[in-house]
Amino acid sequence: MTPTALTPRPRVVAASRIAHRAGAPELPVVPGFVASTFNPLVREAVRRCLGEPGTPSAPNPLVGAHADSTAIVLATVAGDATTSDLASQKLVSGRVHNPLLFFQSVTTSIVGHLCIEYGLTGPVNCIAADIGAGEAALDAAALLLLDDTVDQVLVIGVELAANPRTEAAYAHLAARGVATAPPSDDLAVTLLLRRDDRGDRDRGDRDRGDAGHLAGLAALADTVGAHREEER
Amino acid sequence: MPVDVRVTGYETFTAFGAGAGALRERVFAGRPAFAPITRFDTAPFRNAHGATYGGPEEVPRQLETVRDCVHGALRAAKLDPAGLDPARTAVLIGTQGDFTGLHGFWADRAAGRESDPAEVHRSFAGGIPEAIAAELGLTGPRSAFINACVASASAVIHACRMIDAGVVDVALVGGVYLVDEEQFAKFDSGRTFARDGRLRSFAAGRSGMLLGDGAAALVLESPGHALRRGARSLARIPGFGAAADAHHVVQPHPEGIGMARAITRALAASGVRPDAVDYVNAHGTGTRLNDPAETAALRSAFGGHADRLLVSSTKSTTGHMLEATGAVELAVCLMALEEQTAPPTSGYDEPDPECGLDYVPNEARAAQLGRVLSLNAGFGGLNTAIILEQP
Repeated sequence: MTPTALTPRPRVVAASRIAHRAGAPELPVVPGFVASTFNPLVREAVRRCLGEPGTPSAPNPLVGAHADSTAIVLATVAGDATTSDLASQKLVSGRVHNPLLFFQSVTTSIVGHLCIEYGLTGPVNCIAADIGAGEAALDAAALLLLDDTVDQVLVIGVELAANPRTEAAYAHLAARGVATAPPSDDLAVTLLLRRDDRGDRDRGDRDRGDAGHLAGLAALADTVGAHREEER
Repeated sequence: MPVDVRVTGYETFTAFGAGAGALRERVFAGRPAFAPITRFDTAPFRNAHGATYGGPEEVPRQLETVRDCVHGALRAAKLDPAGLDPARTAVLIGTQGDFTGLHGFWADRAAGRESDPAEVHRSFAGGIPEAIAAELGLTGPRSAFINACVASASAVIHACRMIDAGVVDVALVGGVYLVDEEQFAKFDSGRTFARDGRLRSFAAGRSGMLLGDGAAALVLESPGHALRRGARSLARIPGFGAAADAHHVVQPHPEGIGMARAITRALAASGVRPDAVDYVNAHGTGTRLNDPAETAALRSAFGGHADRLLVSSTKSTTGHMLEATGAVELAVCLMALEEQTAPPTSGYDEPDPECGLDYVPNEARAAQLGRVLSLNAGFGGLNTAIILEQP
């Protein structure tokens, strides 16, 4: 949805994609985060993209040398709906709020957690769009890569499968002719992007219907398996 | 590399009412808007105070409020939206979405009622810029920024990047948060609220923050676009910085390392010397942890010049407007440049030895202001710094 003059697209250095079906074995827990799949999903997707965080003596090969110059862009339509809706249901029923739901009530909390784990101190953008959230994230990354102080951008596209509330909101969009659909399972896609001096690359046009509105990002992620091995 | 982005119009809505005039009058007089909230029942919570406009019979809504600000900013900029290039105009709004739509859905469910899907959709943040763009016939980039308390500052920074890169000529950028029971309950559970019904930034004995209604929109233009249409530039943005603490998910680094980094990046990007900044509109939430950390950041980034800076937190009058705070506080910075006056930190009764700067206590101060800096910070340890200067 975001027409920009920023071509060619950045180069995909590493990528991952995780779909998590309801009832599947739980993803590794993120300390301090509860109840929702959103945060473990984001963290696991980033781990599969970047590898383990590393240590001072053995820094992460993808971000260790770029701690100050790695930007992050997270894109979504509905964000962490599980946390928002759980908190709302507690409020409506007169139950006491869980402070942990406050701490994880914004997407910047899990991104901040990742910044701590990987030591990243670059700019962070979390964006939401009813139409073309994935494209907006790629455009934001391309824009950030024009900045001399940014070497690479970690793009995270994340969406939970619909719940009753988001289903009603998506239905409203569909009734107005907006084709934005949630993925069939909870889904996170990550891409580590750098400037590309080698011209336009595979945009990943293959069908990824189960990924909902993240199909474009998912297809792009699927193009880079071999390249990722080379970088790591 | 410095950027050159012109601010040609702005409009605000706060607890003081609609219009930048209402905000200007009360912020520069240092008269806070805090009062018991009547918008919803506060009995279940530890705190009853906030800065809200109107009572339960006239609760403003996010979309309509920020849309009115966008129209007001366009009028102030003397910019007819019909004359905009639809594909080269961005709409970027800081918002978490309208949680009254979310609350209504679960309240309806509990009561066995059907929900209105349009009302439920209000909870999607992206619907707000999309609706504003659709109403104005704009097809350019449009996104919500959901970066918590740096959301609208991040939207402004992103808009500056777009204009600087030549992606758009004009950006309608802003933010909105209106005090609602959902977020109020969350902040209450996190024990972040002041216990005395006052937000006393940087003062000894401060006990926390209070929420406030806020919305603002700014018209940003490339210099060429502003020049071609003969627009008056209210201010110029020469640079900005953003940085993460990488320290704690919900607490600032005690030495303000991330905030200092954001300031240093803004100064370096704009080519502005530290001693060329005259006034800082601080994040200044009035929490025990934020204010000394922010003070440390200012000392680190400005060195000896920190003692000559005028620093104030206008949250002491408006309350903390969450996703809207960056946009509203940029509007206050524009007023400071126009008035050549630093607005005060209200409720500053007694100095805190850990916060040893000139916080413009309780009374506005006339001063020669050539450049001002707006700071914000948010959950996740995110920090933003935006410089404004006389055009």
